[in-house]
Amino acid sequence: MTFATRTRASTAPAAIGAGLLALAARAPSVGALLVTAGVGAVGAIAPVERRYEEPSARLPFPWVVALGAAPFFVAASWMRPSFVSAGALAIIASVLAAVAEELFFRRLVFGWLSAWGPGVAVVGSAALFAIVHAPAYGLAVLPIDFAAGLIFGWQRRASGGWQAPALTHSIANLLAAL
Amino acid sequence: MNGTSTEAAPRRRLIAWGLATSLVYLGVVAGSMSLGWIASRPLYDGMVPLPPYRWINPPAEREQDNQAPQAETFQVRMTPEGLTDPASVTTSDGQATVIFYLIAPVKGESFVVTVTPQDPARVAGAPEGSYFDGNAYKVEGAYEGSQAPLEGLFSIVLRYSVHARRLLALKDNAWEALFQPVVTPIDLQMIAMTPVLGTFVASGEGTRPATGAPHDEATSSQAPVEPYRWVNPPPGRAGDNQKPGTESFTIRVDSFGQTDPESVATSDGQVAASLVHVPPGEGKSSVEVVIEPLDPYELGPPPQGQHFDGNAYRITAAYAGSGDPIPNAPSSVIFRHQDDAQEILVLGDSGWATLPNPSYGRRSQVVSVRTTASGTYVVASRGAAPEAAGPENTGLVGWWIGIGLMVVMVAVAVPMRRRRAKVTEVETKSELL
Repeated sequence: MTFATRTRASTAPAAIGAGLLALAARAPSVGALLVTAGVGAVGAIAPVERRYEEPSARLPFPWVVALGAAPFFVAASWMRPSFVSAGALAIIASVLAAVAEELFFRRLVFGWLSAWGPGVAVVGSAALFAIVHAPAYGLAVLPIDFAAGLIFGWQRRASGGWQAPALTHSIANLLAAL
Repeated sequence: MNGTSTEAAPRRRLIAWGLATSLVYLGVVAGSMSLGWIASRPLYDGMVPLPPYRWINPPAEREQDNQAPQAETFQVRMTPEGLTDPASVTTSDGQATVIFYLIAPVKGESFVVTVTPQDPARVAGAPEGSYFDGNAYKVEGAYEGSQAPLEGLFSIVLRYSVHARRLLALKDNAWEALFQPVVTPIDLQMIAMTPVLGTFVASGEGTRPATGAPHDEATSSQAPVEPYRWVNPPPGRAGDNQKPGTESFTIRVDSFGQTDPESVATSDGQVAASLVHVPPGEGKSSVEVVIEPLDPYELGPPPQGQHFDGNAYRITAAYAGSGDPIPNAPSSVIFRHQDDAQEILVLGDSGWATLPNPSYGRRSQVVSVRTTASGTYVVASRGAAPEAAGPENTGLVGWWIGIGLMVVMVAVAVPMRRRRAKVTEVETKSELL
């Protein structure tokens, strides 16, 4: 292991820990958007090690997005509409949060956890994703956000990148906001 | 073995895993909805910031940046079917919404609704032990042609500032709590039904919490909702259930057939009935409405593929003096329900039948339908009929399916990882994505 690799490996937990705390401390406000964007920036620029065996095949990007987004459309059709009217800020915030969180969870966290295997990476990133949303939304959302995180983690694995989960996450957020 | 078949198996596995995670998600959503944990979003994320509350009389910390709300007027059309278009109106700042459930039929007339924000303290003092958590909103409605006041049944949705738990209505120059508002802390909103328009305000208990930020407490605790009162409680509720009782109401009728009040509600808030107009006549100056809760299973089995989602209610309306039933007066009944009610059933000669076009209270766990004055009704949900355990336990099925799928995934994933570790020398590959 080179010095650079050891450095990357040692800084990842600290960056992830700080990012998780920042995300968990958010409350709906303009400040929360800045925090989310900052965490996303960390997720985007932090070096990521991938030390697991790559899958021998990947699925085409559209397939991964379609298969991942379908259950969100089904779930949205079950739910009753909200009275909250979505303005431009809500739409921007929904997409920003989705992209930033996917950079953090499915790029940085997933990449770090993948040292223990893809299963750990998928489940672990999903669990952390759910946990950071509990302070703002309550414990009742843990199961649904964890299950959504599993879908995003699968998309990360199946597509080989964070972009497919980011697009799906944006769709899911917009379904909630609109 | 050619390249295509070599790639096909891993691809099939990836697709299978994708389908499995999708099913897990849908199972969890179904389970969470059945338990009443979530009802409005496929994913709880986004951290959409709410704009700062707009005060008529801002608290000290908001005096600098406050934008005063304005009065707004809305024109609402009545469709030939007697429905309103739109079904609700919302102020441009999203702080007040009026939903129209049933509007007294005045043929061909549209109406105008005006929503005026006010300083609640100037309207009437806050009830003891509470504080105003937002502006008061005076909601007025009048038919455009006759200028007669709008009559019907409404829901009022108010956004609040910090920690509201009650929705107050002005009555005889004093604030009176509307029954069982539903609070959605994420959106800082509360909703309650009212049979009359008037002036409304959200209120909190105790003293208003001092906050540095105007809208940073969206995670405030939700006001407790009283448990549903069952005639025949499911096993899980047998211990703490309070049985509902029969209640009767006397409604005055003027010479034009207009009723006062237009709507009545049981003291537990589980049923409201609206009777806005009855055939007038001599000696018909008042109507007696009786609402009797019943066990729906004793009246007949639910239709195929449905199960009951609350008590049945026999609602009878008759002229108070003569006892003559009121024939075919247009009315509306609204029921609180437990699960995810999708239908209102009426008891007929051949058993329970579905009434068309129910309206949902969205987040407020109520469902309403237009009907005639008298009848026996029950709310029902689609899905398999409940086992002997009772309707409240049916929601657990989806939940257990979700948990089972997750267990299966873990059980499959762990051996796969071990097998791969044996077969393959672990190669450490460092790369930047």
